Amino acid sequence: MSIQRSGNRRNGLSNPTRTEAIGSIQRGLSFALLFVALVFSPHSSAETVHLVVSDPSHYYREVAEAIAHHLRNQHPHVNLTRLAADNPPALDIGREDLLVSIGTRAAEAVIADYGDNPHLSLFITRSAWNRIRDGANSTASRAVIFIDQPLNRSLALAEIFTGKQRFSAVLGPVSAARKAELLSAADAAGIALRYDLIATTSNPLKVLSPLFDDSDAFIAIPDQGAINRNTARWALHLGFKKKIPVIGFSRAYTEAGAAASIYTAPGDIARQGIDWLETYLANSNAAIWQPYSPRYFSVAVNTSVASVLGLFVDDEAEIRERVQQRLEGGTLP
Amino acid sequence: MKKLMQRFSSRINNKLILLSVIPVAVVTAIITWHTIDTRRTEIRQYQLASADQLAKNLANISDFALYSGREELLEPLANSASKHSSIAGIFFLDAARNPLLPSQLPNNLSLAMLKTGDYSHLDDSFFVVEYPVYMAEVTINDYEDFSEKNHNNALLGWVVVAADNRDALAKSREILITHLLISFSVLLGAILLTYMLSNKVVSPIRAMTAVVRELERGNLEARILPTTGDELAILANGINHLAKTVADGRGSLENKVTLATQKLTATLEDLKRKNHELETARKEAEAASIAKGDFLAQMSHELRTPITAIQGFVKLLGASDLKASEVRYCHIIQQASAQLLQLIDDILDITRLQSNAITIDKTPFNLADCIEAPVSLMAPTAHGKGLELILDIAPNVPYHLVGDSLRIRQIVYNLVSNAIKFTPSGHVILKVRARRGEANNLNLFIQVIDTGIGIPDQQHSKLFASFSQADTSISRRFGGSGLGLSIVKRLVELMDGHIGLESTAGKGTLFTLALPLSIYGNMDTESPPMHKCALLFDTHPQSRQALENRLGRYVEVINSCENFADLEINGIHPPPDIIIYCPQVGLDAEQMSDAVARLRPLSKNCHIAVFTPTTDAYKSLPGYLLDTFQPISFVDKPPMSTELAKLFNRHKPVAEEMEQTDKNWLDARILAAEDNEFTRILLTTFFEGSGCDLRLVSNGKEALDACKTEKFDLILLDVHMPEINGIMALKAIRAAGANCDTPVVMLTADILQQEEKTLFEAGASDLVFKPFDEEKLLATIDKHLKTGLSSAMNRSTRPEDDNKHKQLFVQEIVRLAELARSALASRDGDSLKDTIHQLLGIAGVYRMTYLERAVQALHQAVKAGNGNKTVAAMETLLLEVDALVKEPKAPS
Repeated sequence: MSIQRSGNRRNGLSNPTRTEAIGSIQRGLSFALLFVALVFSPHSSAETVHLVVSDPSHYYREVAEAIAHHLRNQHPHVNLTRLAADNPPALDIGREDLLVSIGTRAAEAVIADYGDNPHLSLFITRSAWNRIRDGANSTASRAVIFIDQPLNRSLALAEIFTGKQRFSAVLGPVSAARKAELLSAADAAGIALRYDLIATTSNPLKVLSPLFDDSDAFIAIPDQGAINRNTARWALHLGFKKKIPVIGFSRAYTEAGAAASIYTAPGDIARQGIDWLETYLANSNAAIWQPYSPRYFSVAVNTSVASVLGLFVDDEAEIRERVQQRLEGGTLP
Repeated sequence: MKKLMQRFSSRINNKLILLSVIPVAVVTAIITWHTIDTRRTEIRQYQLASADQLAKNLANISDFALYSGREELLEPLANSASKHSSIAGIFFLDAARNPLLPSQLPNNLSLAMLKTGDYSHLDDSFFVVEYPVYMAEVTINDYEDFSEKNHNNALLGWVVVAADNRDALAKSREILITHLLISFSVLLGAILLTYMLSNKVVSPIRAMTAVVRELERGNLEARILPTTGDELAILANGINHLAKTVADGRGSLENKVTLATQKLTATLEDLKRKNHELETARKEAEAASIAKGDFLAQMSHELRTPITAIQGFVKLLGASDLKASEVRYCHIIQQASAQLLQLIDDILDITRLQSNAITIDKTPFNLADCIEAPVSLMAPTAHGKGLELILDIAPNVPYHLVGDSLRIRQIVYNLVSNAIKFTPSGHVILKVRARRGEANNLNLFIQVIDTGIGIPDQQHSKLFASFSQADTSISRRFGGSGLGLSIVKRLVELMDGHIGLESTAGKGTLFTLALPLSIYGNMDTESPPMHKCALLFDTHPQSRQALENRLGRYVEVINSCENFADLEINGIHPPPDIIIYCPQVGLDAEQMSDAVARLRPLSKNCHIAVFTPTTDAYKSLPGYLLDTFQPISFVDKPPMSTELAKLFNRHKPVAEEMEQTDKNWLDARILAAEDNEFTRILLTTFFEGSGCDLRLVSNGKEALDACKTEKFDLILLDVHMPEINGIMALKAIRAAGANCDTPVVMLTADILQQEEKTLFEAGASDLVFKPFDEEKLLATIDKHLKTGLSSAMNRSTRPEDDNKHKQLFVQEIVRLAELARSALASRDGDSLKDTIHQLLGIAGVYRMTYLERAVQALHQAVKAGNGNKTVAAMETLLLEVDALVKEPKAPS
């Protein structure tokens, strides 16, 4: 996959017909203009934004359309284009143009082909970002908004959902990096957390079963090495047998049998992305070029499972509100 | 089996049963088979689906136990599933197909089968269904990007369901039996129903059939009793009506036949009667015909005798001193008697032809002699009338043929004499042509052309009828019996030939004769002509042409001249070896002398041959001619072949040639025993000059004596001889001695069939009838001695010998006739028989028909013992002998 670069920029840099004098003046002017643009001119003057979408999946499209809608309404002077990661760009992309990638593959394409352009990456996991960021130009202006919800939100949901504070969790090869976050969140919330690490060679069932024996809820942390399509079922199975709710991390898992989930919906991503773009367009400074955890979240509840487990639950909006309140009452990350 | 089926299906009710049962049986079989098959398939599929569903369900619920390795969780699953009667066992295998529960294996199933998954060796009573157990999955990610990559469904193990098929098989069998019973019942019912129905339909048909058979047997009174009111009743009524009609018709027909038969019988009787009458009439007609023939023959004979006497006396009278008018009267009497004699001979011939008494001989003969003799005989008559008589024989015509020369001569004589008779002026040409066929076959064509009065077209058809001439005025003008052409036609037909006629009234007539003959031997081989060139001077075109043809055999180049002008203009190249001058008929002696005088200077030394007409005018040529024009010779025209041969010095005359050829042709010792002196003379003459050593004896005893002392190459024995007859002598010769193997040819004048048989039983080699035909005798001798006598076949007796023999013949006939008369007078039967036998042996030597007939009549009368007839026949014989004695010239 690649995005073809073509047009004025390359032609301007490599035109052999200019005289050396003219070439020197031009180079000097160029560097001067670049410096002014970088240091003094506000970002509101950068009026070209390219939305690069990984694929035509509806959730990417939803994010792209929300952003585009906002920009067209609020910033009509901004030149907005939409590109597909798999297809060559229909327009020339200037060096100062902002590229907003939506999805992991779009992010990979932008870093690979336009590594020097300002870049906002949306809809990407922390682990994926860490993977593709390696080897890219570290001096480039990059911001990223992860979809990984902070673990304290899951703990808060479990607490609100069960009304209890003895939870268990399992960490896999990837999620092991979030052990500190987990423990810190549990500690902050006064939650007794029992956890175990799961290796690629171990039988997940043998690891999971004991964690359900003395727990009020099982917190599923996203990690294919620990909770994957197979083990997620065993977790549900054990939860059902032990009458313990499983707090998941996606609407799909909730629908598969988890009692409730905290997750990042496309709307949540779009909303935070728009927030960032407003900041970028209003006053671009170096501070905005950083990674962000998701500011917004969504809650999904499986009322059937909750009913089986004998839990009385409000509707999802109510629970989300209560989670939000709970989090705001506590320490925010 | 096929015959049984044919017999079964031959009856109509059986056919009906077959017609209904076969479709029912087929349909029932198809339905039964289909039902059974469907039911069995359903049972099998149900069994299979049940086992399959059970295995699938177990696979779905056993994944946890298999994944977790908790076998205790599998046991209740297996136990609950196994409670079903059709399930023989439930087995759980891990991913490596190792059994997890210590279950009891059914008899048919082995651990190895579970391990390998190969259940092909199981029998029908048992089958196995297995299902893989995979780990169940749930979707846990909302976004595709974050789902697991390259995820494989992990195989946890296998669920094996062993199903017992025996119940299903038992159920299938039940279904099979039940359905077969149902089908059989249906089929049986159908057969019974069809049988009953067919009986109802067929019984009236059977009744009709029985009645029809009765009708076929002829019982036309048989009737069908209609029992139903349907179409069969109509058919029955129809058959009844038909039978009634046929019965009525037959009765009527029988009456008609009876009547017709009666009429036919009457007609047949009538026909028989008429046939009988016809037969009687035919016999009477035949008898009348025979009587007529006998009468004609008798009358002819009776007439000949006085006519012969008249001719003799007129000749004597003519030789005496008479006045001129008396001489003329004598001449008229002579002519009238000759005509009368000819008429009688013709009547006799036609009578013999009509009664098929003439048989055609097939012996070798010389065509030239046969043709030329009658021509030369009639030449004076033709020349006397001023007619040119021309003989035109093509060079390629062979002379040596096989056929009946006597009859050919007679035919030629009749045709030529006829032509001369009806030609007042002009010429008569006899043309002879030949066309060779296959082998030695030959078609001889003889044409007689005249410039006579001709025959109108309407007369052609009746020209060959007996006693018929072109018109009655002809008889008045020319005379004649009208028998000549009829005789000719009959003779030609007897020779398998054909005669045709072309004629225009007033212009002339052409008779064409075709005779199938065969060439004798190889005697006509061409030898080169001895004369280089001949000058032919003849003013008559046809005569000149005929002479050219005839001279072609002797001369290489012939220069023909019609007149002296041609001769003077053209000259003669090359100079002639011979000059032929043929003066026209009518030319006087002086004119002819002038012509010779003009020819002589052409070649002073060559020979002049003058072919003169036979009229008296040329008999007295000026004597100085012979002296002045030497060398010169005179020959009568038309010249004979012998004369031409002599003239050209090419061949010696035929008789001479024969004589030379005959010399020493028979190098053999021959014994001839013959009691008759004349026959002995004939035999002596026959063998004279042949070179053979002939020993003649006069009876059987002498023959036996000769045989005792000498060895012969051939013996000729007369059958009837005094002392010891021929048969006894033959037996004695064959019994012993040097001549027991010698060929013996028996000679006899008359022999019974029994005698002939006795002869050959006694050892005769051959039999020759007397008077012996020289050619036949030669052929017989040649057959036994293998001497190659073909060249000797045309022997002829020298004229002086012939005259001498004829005198002896007459003397012998007179002697024997006197002996016979004496024997009859003294009633000495044996002597009479011996004498008659000797007469029979010589009477035919000179083909004296009447003498022969007289001797034959006497012989028959004596044999029959009829005294009256014997006396009458003796008288006739004496008259014939008397006529023979008195005959001034020997008959030709």
